[in-house]
Amino acid sequence: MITLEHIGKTITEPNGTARVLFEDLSFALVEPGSSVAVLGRSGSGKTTLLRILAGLDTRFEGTHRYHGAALSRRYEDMARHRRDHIGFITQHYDLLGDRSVLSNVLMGARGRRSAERRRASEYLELVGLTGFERKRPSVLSGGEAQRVAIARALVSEPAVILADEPTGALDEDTEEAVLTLFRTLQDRGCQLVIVTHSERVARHCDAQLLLTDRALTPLPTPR
Amino acid sequence: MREILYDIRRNGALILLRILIVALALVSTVTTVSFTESTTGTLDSQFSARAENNLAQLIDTYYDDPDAFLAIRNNPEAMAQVSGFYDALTRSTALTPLSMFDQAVPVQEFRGDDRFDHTFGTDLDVVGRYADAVTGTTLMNVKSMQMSRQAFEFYGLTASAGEAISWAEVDYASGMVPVLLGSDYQGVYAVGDTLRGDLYGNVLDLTVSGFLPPESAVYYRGEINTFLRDRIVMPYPETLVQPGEDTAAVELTPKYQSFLGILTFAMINTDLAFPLETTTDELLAELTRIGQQTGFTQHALIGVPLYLTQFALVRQIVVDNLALVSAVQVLMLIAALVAAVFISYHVHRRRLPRVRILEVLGAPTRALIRERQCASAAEYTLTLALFGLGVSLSPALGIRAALIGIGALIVWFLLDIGVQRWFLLRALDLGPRSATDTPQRGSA
Repeated sequence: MITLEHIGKTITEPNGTARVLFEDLSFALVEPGSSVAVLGRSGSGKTTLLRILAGLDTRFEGTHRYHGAALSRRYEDMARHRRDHIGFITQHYDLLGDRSVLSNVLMGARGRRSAERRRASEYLELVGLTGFERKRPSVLSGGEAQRVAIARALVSEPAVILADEPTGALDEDTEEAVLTLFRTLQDRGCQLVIVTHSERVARHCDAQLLLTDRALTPLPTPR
Repeated sequence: MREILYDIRRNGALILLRILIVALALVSTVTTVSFTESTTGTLDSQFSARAENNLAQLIDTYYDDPDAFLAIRNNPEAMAQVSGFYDALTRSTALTPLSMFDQAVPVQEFRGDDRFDHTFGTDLDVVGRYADAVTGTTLMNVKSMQMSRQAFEFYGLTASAGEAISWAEVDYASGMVPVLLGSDYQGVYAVGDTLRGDLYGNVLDLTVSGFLPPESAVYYRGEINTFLRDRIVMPYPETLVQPGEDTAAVELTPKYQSFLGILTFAMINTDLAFPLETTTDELLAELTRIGQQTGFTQHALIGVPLYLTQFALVRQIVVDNLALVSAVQVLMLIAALVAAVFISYHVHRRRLPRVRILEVLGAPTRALIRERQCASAAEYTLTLALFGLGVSLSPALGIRAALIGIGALIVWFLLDIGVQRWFLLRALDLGPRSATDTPQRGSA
């Protein structure tokens, strides 16, 4: 369903030196409702890989396909691709403090206003934040903020969820709640790609890939 | 609309600051342009001719001999020589007589207030209206300035309302004289009104041809700018002797003869403008030639040494300050532009988190740009309103300057939209594509 073929990417470090990040990297996530965890040390390119999958980074060599069709590198085309198919959960929640939880979730919605509000409320209920609609992000805990960010990514009902360290700042109980939520989404047919440092999170995914030596290597599934 | 309200709530103070900076910068610019145009116009219309000439003063030599003065005024042949002398002066190519005199004019049933009284603004007590002892009519001695056509044109005087003086219609013999009124007379008299006045005992019907602009001024008796805004400007006759006319044969009533005598001497006691390159000797030679030709030699020349010095000084101060004001204005405009761009960048930075989220959510660039354009349109509409208010309160604003200001605001608006678009596209990393780039925020 979503594939990367022969990806090559070089970045320029702040000191001016070039560094090859990916070389002939390939990736495929085919089965509906499947999930994959991408592990790797800091600086190995996990977030960049996720940005390429989201179409936020189009400066690479190789081919990015969705349902077999190669995606254009044009910004507008990739933005449409994200709007239509991708839900992206950022590492730092990225909530706007000057508006309510509901308004933050509505930023990800499309369509008629009343229907959007209803769906946003549904997803807030799904992430366990019923009654939080009017609250400001500044009064939320880290786990609550993360769940608002998840609700925002889900409200457009994407086929693929890309999550960058979604539980990095959460305690174990909250992490468990988020992982349970992800399992619920998978049961609904969503595909998940989760970038994480946590082996515990990785174990909840159907497959684990290690980003090392500029390419992805499958890890044996522990469960 | 909702997002604009969010934006105003978040960035309202900065946006308001930018509106104030842009509006004030443009109001200031428009005022300066207006001032510059007005000053340049004045320099061109009045100061140029004045700057290219020097002045001397011509007087008759009867001032210390009243008996001789009375005798010549009662002698038609001698007066014909004096008149001929004046007319010869006006025909001379070496000099220009600038006849002027500020004889007050008693006006019957005068409509104006005391500020037009000839004593108003002087050390004398204001006389105001009084009853004529003979006729019983109410009179007021109002400020006036009688002047020749040469003086009128030399000082670049024009009519801002109504029509300029028709010199051919000036007829002291019939008592019909067209006049221009100073700008303070607007609302007191109208074009076409007639004032019944009296000059040297000769009753005249003074018909209002028009009004002078407020800044109209002449050099008179050592005063660089003698303003005419509260005066009646009465034209002297263009000539005192008609070509070929034997004035000695014209029958004159004693009263009119007396009037004509005073008028003629008032006219020959005149400033003479002459080119800077003309020496005093050459000027004297020309006066001697005219005197010998006409038979009137009872005149003398007095220099007006201060005129050129004062005038050149004033002119230079105006020119220097004009350049200074323009330079300060340009610097202010640049400072305002820099401040506005700085604020634009700051506001952009404050909007960036939302842009990043929308980017991740797949918002189309067009929508983001359009959203900013709408916010800018609202902001600049408010700026235009503030600019309009500012210029409406600005004194002596020129229409051209106001149009320039509106044009500048439109250009500023388009530039700002361009700059904000550039900031936005740069933030979205919409540069040329290659497989190499610098690491993204928190990436790699």
